[in-house]
Amino acid sequence: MSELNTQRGGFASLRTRFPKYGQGLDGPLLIWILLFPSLLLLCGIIFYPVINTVLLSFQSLNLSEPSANKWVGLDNYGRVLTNEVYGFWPAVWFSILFSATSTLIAFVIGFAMALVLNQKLRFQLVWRGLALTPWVIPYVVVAYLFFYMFNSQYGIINSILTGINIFGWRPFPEPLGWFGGNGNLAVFATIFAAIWNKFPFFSLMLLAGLQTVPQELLDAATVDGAGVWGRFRHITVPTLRNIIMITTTLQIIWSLNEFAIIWAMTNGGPGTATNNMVVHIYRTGFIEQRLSTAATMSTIWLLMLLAFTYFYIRIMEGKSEV
Amino acid sequence: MTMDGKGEGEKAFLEGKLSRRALLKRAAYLGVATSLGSSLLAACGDNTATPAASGATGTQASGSAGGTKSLKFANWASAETATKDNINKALAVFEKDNNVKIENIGIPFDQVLQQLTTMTNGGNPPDVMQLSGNWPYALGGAGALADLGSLVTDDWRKDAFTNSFEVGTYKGTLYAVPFTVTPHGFWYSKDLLTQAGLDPAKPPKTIDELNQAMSAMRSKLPADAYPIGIDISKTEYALVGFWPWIWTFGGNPMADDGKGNVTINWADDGTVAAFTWLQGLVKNKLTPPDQAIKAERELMANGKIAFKLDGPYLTGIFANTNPNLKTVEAVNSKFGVSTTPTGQGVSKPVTAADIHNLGISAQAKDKALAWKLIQFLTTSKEVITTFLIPQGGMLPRLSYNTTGDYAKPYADPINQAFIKDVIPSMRPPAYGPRYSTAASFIVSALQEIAGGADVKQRLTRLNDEVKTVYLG
Amino acid sequence: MSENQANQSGQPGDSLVRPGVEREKRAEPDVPQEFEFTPRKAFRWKRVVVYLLLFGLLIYAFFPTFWLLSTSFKPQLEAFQNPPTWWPRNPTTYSYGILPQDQQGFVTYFKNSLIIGVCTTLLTLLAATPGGYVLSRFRFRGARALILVILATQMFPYVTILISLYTLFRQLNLLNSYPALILSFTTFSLPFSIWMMKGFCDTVPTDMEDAGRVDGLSRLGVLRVIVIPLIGPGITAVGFFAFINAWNELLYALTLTSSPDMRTVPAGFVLTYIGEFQDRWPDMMAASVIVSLPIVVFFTVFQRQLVSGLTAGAVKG
Repeated sequence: MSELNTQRGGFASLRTRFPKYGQGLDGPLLIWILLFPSLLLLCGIIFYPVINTVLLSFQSLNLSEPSANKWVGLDNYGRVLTNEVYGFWPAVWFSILFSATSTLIAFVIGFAMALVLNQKLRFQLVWRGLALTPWVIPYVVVAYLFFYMFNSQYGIINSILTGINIFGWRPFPEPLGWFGGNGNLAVFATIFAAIWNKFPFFSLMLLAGLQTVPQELLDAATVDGAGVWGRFRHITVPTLRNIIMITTTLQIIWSLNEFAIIWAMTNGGPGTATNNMVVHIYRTGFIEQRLSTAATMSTIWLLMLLAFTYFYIRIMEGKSEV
Repeated sequence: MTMDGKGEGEKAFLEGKLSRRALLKRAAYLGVATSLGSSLLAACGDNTATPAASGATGTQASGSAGGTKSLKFANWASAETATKDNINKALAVFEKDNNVKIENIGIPFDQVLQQLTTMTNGGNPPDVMQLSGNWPYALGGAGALADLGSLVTDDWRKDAFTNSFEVGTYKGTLYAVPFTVTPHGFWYSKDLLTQAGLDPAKPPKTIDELNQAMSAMRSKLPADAYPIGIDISKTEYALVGFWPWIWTFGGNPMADDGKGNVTINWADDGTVAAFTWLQGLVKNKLTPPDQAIKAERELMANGKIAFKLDGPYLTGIFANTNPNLKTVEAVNSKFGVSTTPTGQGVSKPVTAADIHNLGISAQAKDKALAWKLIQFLTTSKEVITTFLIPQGGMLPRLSYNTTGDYAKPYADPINQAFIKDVIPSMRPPAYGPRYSTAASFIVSALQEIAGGADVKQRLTRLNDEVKTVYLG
Repeated sequence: MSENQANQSGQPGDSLVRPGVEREKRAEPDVPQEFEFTPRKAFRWKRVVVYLLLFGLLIYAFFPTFWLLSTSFKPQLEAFQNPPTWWPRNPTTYSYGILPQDQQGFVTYFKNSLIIGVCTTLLTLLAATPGGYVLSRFRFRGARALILVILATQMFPYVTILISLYTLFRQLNLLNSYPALILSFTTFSLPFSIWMMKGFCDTVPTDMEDAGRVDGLSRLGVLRVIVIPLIGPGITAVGFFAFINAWNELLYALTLTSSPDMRTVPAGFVLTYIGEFQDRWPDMMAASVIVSLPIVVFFTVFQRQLVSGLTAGAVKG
């Protein structure tokens, strides 16, 4: 696979592949015909709605009184960004916290799993299939499953925790109220569920990457006296650098927009402790019916994500120039 | 005036901004832009054409259907397959007797208000709709509901539970009539009272007695059993459950003057007292710290909760959960129902008027026929026996619950307590049209206070939040 | 006290979970990966470490799934017991038995999810396959801009799209319809799918296509005869990705449908199983098992193809 990639070039080398266009169906027309479905869908169901949402953010639409709608200019932006009643900034921070921690830990666990699964083991395929199952269990199921396991009254996790008894030391003498209190435990619980759901994605991708690590290099390093850690640091990680960057960036962005797990587990509570941006926007727009306020928040959120995307694009482009 | 009217303005703006010419010009330079632009324009074009078309089909649909008349009935009971079949069977009788076709529209409870608003704005509302909570206020206030004042007969008004018409009245106009009456009563577990050395026949009558009983229970009951169940979930329903306690402690955080003006003070002394009490319940492990009412029902069925405010339908839920509570007799032997204990804020016990009601759309073509359907829904044998009684709520005509053919399922002590004591203590919460929006903020505050936030401070902030919502 | 009961009621389960709970912090990627090339006996202890680590990770990966299965066989009352039972004390298949009766609408949800998932997949493939291929093979004016746009689109928060899609579909009277759900579900699979297809096509050598051209095939002919078979694994992987996305989707499904006849499985779970009156955990877990099963089986069977397609397309090394 890596051999092929060295042949692939950046955009410049694409030119050499088909030096001459034919006519009609053999040339430009074909390009546009093939691109047409993608472009139509991108414009119709992505760009057009996004533009509409931006327009909506300059109005005062409340779904309960749509007839009172009017243009309000930048009013919504001023309010959302400065008035803490709108709860915008806490939602931004929680989104970042949720996304960063869950991605980081899922990455570590996923990597460990990939390394282990890369060994020659008996029943290798079975192990792999089993280990990657959490990824294909629907998010909502994951959310309810963990909600049930974390239940403060009859959940298995409290039962295990209160059962821990190390020579008389019991770190959790009382069951924890996971979805109450100041919300820290709920934050932990949602992140914990998200990690479980996500780590197989990393395992899967990194495992495929590990299989491309050149064995000769590793052997040579062993001969040179490099230890396990040394080989891991100086050969494995650099080889996987691209995969690592891309998977983590993708996963961070996907998790910034997580909805199902949080909504099904906590509805954003207790209070607003697990209100991430998507949950907050959904609640504002569709539960509280303040659609224009929601549109304003999501426009700002879009701009923030686009800033982040800049880095993502640089990574992707950097890759194709390898 | 409707959403569609606004939509036109929006589109004009959009088209003005992105002029076709400019786009085409740019497109000449950039291949991508060509398709981007033309698709965008195509999308706009589509959009301009369709609302008009859909409006037309909308009016056609409600008007036509040839010779037989048609009625649309929206309700959340039909959102569940099992109950939908029962309702359809009952409705078939009405269809046959009146030569009408009824379209039975099931909408899940959570989405009813949003959907009814949408349908009304789209010019295609259901003729008869099942409502709850503040919906009659929200829809009535927006002009979506017909005035039922002249249709209701005096004998129904006389033969109705306290306040069951009031919760359907907004600014002096009756928008909704009662369908089933399901307020929360004070349920108590006789077993747990006995275990704590208390008299199972004497549930606490005042907050002081309740507090004493709870601390007695806390010392006697196992750690995973709780004296009281309070809904601390992030749902609007948590607020329905907490209103009675707010009033009992003398709080009056939202008051409606009857003209649609809502006064808001979430930081009044009584409200602060109620929330302080709630915080103490969690801190002293008198209530589970983070459970929703649904989970607490199961816990109560499992003998893990002693007191709880809940509706008359809890009997059915117990039967569904615990094989030892399969019969009404079994439930009655283990549980009893009384009124909310009284506190400093009230001389008589009080509970929230949690009622399901029925309204007619202001746009309904044949209001007389729609009213006929409402009468059928509230008085016919078919609906009462196949739907209302199994649902577990009280029938909308008071006398039906106490005498005649249908009285038997309501004869057990628990139902009798609801009819004689709980329902007369119903009080309508100050539902304004934006109550649902406010509720979302209120339950957030409720959760945070239960979790230990400073009561006075948090309620002051809540006050700001609710005011912001009400004032736009 | 509860600890003793837990131990008694399920030894195997007990030993299963504790390392799993701890695992999260301890897992460190410090495992040798090439020991099989060194003399076996000298490194036996490493093998032990590997198996231990594998075991711990598997418990972490599997305990929740075990709990899902275990709960699905419990009667309603037992699911609320504290301390919980590790294995169902009174195992019952009641929760599975009621599924086909469609009491909670499960059959309807499943059917909807399947229809919408398959259509979304087809629509995505229809657009992404030629789109990705073109972007990989041809250089034309605007190609670079388009690639950048597609990359950026992947990052759009889909809630932003939802707000307008909702008003749009409402105006078009499309709420509660398959087309609305299929179109909206396509929004978040499409950009990534185009990108994956492009990535996959990049890894497929052009030699065969060139040969085809030399042999006098038209470009369209090359596409049909040579390209489509070559990018098969890519299509499978993109399709799988699109399907699993649609299968999982909750936000759009909650917002764009109100009629229970149109609900998908995730929306049905949220609105019916965690419905108004009761948490029916065993019923929900049983339904979850049935819902997850097809994907798990599909994934296990097509594992190799999927992995090669996914990695080549999304993250070529």
